[in-house]
Amino acid sequence: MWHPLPFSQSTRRWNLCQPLRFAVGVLILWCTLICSAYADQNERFFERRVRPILIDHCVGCHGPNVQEGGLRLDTRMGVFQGGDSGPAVMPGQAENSLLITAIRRTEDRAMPPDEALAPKEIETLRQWIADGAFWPSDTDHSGSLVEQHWSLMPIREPRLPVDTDSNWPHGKIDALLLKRLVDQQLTPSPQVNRRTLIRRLSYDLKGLPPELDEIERALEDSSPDAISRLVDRFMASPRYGEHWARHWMDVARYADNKGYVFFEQPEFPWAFTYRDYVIRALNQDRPYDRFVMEQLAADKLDDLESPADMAALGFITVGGHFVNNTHDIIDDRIDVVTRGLMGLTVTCARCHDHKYDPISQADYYALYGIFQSCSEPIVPPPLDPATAAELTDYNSTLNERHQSLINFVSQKYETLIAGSRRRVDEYLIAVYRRRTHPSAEEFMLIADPEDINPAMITRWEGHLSRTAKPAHPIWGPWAVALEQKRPQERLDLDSTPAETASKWNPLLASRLQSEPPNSIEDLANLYGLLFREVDDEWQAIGNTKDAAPLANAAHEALRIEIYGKDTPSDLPPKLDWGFLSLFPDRATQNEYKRLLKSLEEWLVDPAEAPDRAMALVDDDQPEDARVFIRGNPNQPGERVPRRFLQLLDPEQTAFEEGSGRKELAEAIVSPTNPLPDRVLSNRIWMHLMGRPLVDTPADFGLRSERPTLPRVMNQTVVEFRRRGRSQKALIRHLVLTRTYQQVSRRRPEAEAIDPENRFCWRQEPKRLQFEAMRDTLLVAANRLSPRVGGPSQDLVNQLGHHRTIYGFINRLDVPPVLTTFDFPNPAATSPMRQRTTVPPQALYWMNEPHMLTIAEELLSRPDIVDLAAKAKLEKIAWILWGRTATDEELEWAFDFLDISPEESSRGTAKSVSPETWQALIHALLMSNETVFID
Amino acid sequence: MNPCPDEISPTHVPTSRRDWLKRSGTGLGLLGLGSLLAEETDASPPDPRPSRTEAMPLAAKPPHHKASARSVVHLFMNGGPSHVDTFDPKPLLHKYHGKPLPESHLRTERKTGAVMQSPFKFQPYGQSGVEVSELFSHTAKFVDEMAVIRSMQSEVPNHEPSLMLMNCGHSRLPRPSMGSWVTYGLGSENQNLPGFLAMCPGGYPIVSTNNWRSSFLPGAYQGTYLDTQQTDIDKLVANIRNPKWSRDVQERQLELLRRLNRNHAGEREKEAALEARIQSFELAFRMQMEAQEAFDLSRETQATLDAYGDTLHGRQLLLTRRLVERGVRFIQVWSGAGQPWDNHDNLEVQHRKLSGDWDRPIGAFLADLKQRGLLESTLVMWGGEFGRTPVAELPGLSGRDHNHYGFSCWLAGGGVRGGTTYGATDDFGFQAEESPVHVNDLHATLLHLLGLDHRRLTYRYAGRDFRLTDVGGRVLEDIIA
Repeated sequence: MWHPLPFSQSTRRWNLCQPLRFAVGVLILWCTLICSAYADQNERFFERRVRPILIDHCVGCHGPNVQEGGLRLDTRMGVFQGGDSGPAVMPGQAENSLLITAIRRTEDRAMPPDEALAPKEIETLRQWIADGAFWPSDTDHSGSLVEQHWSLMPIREPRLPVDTDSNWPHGKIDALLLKRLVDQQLTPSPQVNRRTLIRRLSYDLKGLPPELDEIERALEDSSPDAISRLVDRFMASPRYGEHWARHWMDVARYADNKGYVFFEQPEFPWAFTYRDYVIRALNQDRPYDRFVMEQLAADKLDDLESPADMAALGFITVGGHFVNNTHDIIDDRIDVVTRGLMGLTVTCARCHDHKYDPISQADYYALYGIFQSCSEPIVPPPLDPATAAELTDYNSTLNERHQSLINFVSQKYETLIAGSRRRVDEYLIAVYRRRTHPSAEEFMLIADPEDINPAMITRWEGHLSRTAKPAHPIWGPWAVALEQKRPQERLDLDSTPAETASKWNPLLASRLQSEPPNSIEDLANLYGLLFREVDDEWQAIGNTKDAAPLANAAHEALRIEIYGKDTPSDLPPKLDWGFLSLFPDRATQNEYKRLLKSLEEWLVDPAEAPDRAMALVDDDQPEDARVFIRGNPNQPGERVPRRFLQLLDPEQTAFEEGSGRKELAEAIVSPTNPLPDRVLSNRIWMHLMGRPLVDTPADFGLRSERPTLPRVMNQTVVEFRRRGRSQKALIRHLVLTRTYQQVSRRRPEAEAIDPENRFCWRQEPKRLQFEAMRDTLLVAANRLSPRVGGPSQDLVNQLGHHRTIYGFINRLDVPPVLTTFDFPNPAATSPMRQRTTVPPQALYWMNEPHMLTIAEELLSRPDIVDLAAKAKLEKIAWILWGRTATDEELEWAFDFLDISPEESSRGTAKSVSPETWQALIHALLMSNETVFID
Repeated sequence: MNPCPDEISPTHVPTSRRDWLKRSGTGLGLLGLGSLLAEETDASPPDPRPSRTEAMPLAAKPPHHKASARSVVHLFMNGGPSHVDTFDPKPLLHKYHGKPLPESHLRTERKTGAVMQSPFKFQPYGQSGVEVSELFSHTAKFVDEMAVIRSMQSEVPNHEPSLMLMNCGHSRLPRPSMGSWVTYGLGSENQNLPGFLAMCPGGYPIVSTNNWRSSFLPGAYQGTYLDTQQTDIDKLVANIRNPKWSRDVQERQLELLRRLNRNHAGEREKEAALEARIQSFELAFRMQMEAQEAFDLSRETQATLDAYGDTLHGRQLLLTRRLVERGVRFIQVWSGAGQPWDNHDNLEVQHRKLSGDWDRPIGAFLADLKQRGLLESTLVMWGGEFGRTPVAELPGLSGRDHNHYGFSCWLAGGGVRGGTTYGATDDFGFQAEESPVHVNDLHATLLHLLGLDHRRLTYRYAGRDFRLTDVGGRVLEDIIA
């Protein structure tokens, strides 16, 4: 069992300690082993040690957002040009540099103001300046450091060690591991015995104990390929897919509901179809690239094996709904795709460029644009369209209800858009007055139906903030008025310099001449009137998309301002959760809720209602997103084309097909992108060997530490790719290594060198995860259903018959028993579980009524009920522990039952009450051996 | 190499069995510690190897600096109590009653109209003379122990994000709750009881268990929910009592379990994870006893029972005191399911009823803590997720809308400077004007009193170090004794 990673790292300080560790340990190894000769010591010193100090202590007040004293310490130019007091750094002259005197607090300027830097930090900065203050070019993020980060290097097969004559290795992974062990003066542990190996394999491959006849068969099979055939049998079982699907569902932050929502049904009625897709895809061993393609873009693939595979899109749609905050929903989707598949923490760039990784805010909004251009269909596609199409009566009601909702929404949209054109005066005033008010984007407010629309106010606000500059043909006067406006002062637009005023729209300018506005309100009214006139003119000539422009260019320019692209009225309709945030008046919301509820009920309730896929489709009009400055949707900045991360696609090719999801998926699984395969191989290794090769399975960014066994890691990825990215083949390959088949016992001499088993000199003993633990009990009680797939069940309040993966996961209220047993919170992707040991876990074993049922049912199994006491116990030891009971154990059990060894072999010991038996079996269930795998 | 030895180490795993026993025994004099230590003599020698499992995530851990508070009791008035009717007197409201606000009218969730005066009388209390309304006249007797913050601000006027902000330090993103952060930072002083309890009678508040979630912190730090409407221990704490086995049978089961596990671990060279699980059963066994005893209010004297009163909140607070006494680190006591204080209309009647339910028990609770010498080490915090508007809500004009621009909360005990007020709202109580306090500041102060530096209490997740106070937070030195 490994140390849960975030713990081990959080004992270190964020910025200072990691570089130190690097400096001392990994760096040296890394340089000598892998780094090319071009490695730039200066840059590494800067990035690892200097920049973190600046970011941690200085950039808060001297950075992109605030520049105290005019100084920025986050850019090359800022540092060398300096602020109000001159250059902060004079290369080579540490003692004379303001930065150093400030942090030494020797002169009147003492920085940082609240707390001095640690002496080591001061020394680092001093040394950096003394050595010439290397600072890489500000714009070039793709420097050598990035290219040489271990996770981004191309995947190459390591050279095999030649100097070993050991016959220990079974293959390249073993050989590379052995070399590493020998280098560390370690030796591998011996081969595990077959009985233990069978149990280990059964749990690792199927998440279930081996069946008794399977143990017998494998123990008796003396052929050399007995184990490999056993592995094949285990992996051919549908139980394999169920077990590995749960690992994937941790990554996919699977749950059966949306979390807290205010208006609609909180359940995802068809989340299970995604779960079943994952089980099916793993059992069928779809290549990993295909697996990913389907989960990101099944709707765009024309060669799906079956329409049911549309459910793969649940990977995106099964996340939480964050009270239907669009930005948070998209953020969650970006996170599951980037961190879940590639180990990149892209969502750190939501508000600012990533502080450590070369991921810009533009990268984030490039992806944001993709997900912004997709919607979940209100009526998702049926898993089996052919059969669903035959439900004539059902479908006609469905269509009716669907159409009612569409009609209502369309009508509301029309009113909203028309209002945005015909009530410009009111919107202008609202924007003007709103400066002190929070916007509708920031909180749910409740409005009246006749009010102007808060979301539209926000759109107008954003539009004006971009366009209202004095020389703007239409909003120039508005900008000038805002600059002039003081309370009780009259507006004076006449004095605007001719150079500026000459740029103004002629119709607008003449109106300003004929009716000079005295106040902001007057001006708003003037605009409102003008836009209504132009709109009337346009309506009169037909108001169609294809109509010719208005004859008068000035009129046409004004029309474009309320009809054109990127104007407030250019608002694509949203049928799904996006709708509610647009219409905050309760009357509209209530009607929407009523119509939606009637549709949702019809989708789910009728007996004939078909199962559907939680699909995602591209919108008709995909739209590039604007960067939200500091993550604030009310401060939209530049538009960014929809594209992949610059780090992985330096060309920044814009996506063109629909939303771009398919192109995104292709870019992710492209063989030139080493991350997904590295990330997945690391996780597969983790599940089999008991600890990952890279300690941060969800972060392969620049700050992730290089794996302890880099060559083993690379070889694992090579093996994965060589096998056509088959997960089954990689798993099979790994469990047949000698590395995997080592015994799991501690060895003092090895621990003295490597106490944490980072070099894999033994197999890690594993504690069963909650699912395997509960499933084991169901097997023991002989109640496990062979059913694969189906709707989620309540498995917390009832014991049921289904594997735990089929339990209903309530994201809003994760059952305490799951949390107690380290089930990951489905709020976000989570590839590695915690391993805590707390008394409430023991209380569950001791007192949960299900345990009594299990014990009772185990005793009444047909193959146990009629056995004599001794035989019963022997059989139960096999069931629970996969081995023979020892004499000592039998003796303790007889002692518990208060019978003699002689009695124990004679028929059923009548003197023992069923309760005593039950209490005994209950105690055996609780034993460590039931839940630990050697 | 550990270059930052002073950093909180959540994996601090005691290095020996004796050490571990000492730690888990801290602050639990009531328990059979003696027998536990005695047992050690025939057990295996201590294992000095640092465990690689999270063996005892709740083991008590040393603070960053000397702590003045040992535990926290958060009295959560969910729904948003009106500050201008409780702890923030605004005489000007009488003058403008029924008229529009003379100054700017801030946008809130719903439409609001004219100024509404407080229907409740305020008067000064204690030596400090801090004014409190009649709604909290019993509580106000302890005003000299309190720091009343009158300039709290949250970010938006909606319940869900404001609850998240108050409890987890961020309005929207899924972050761990403050109780989780505190138990992560300090562990708990009693291993036989949960370290972080959330009591809410009758069901969950809005956004339910998110309010006490551990989020990306390990599940061990999640708040344990108690439906304090229940009085039966089985319904209060999951699996705390066996439905079938007597204590005697359980002891025999555990004896057998010990033997099996000892053999099993012996063959495995005392694997740390195995040892940890063995210990967890010992603890669980004692926890059953300790919890039943802790939750048994009938052990209190009649005088104490009478002082608290046999009411829901009286029982909640008496139980709280018993838990504080036993070293539970963080206890959140909610007003009730849903959002009881959300009085959009009929505020006068509703607030009178709600405060009537709370006031006497709070007074009794503070008196009891003080008398037992527990108040100095217990930080009591009272407040809601936001306050209410000084203007009445349309169209009924009998209640107040949500107000996140300014509201009040108070802290008492645990190193707080008593008899102080901090900050102020404008003349009408609409917006914090003097020394506005962000929720991050409140959290930073709370952590400070517990001996934790909010900037150093971090947890690495998804590539960065997270804090309860995100990137903000300042300690309110003025309210610290």
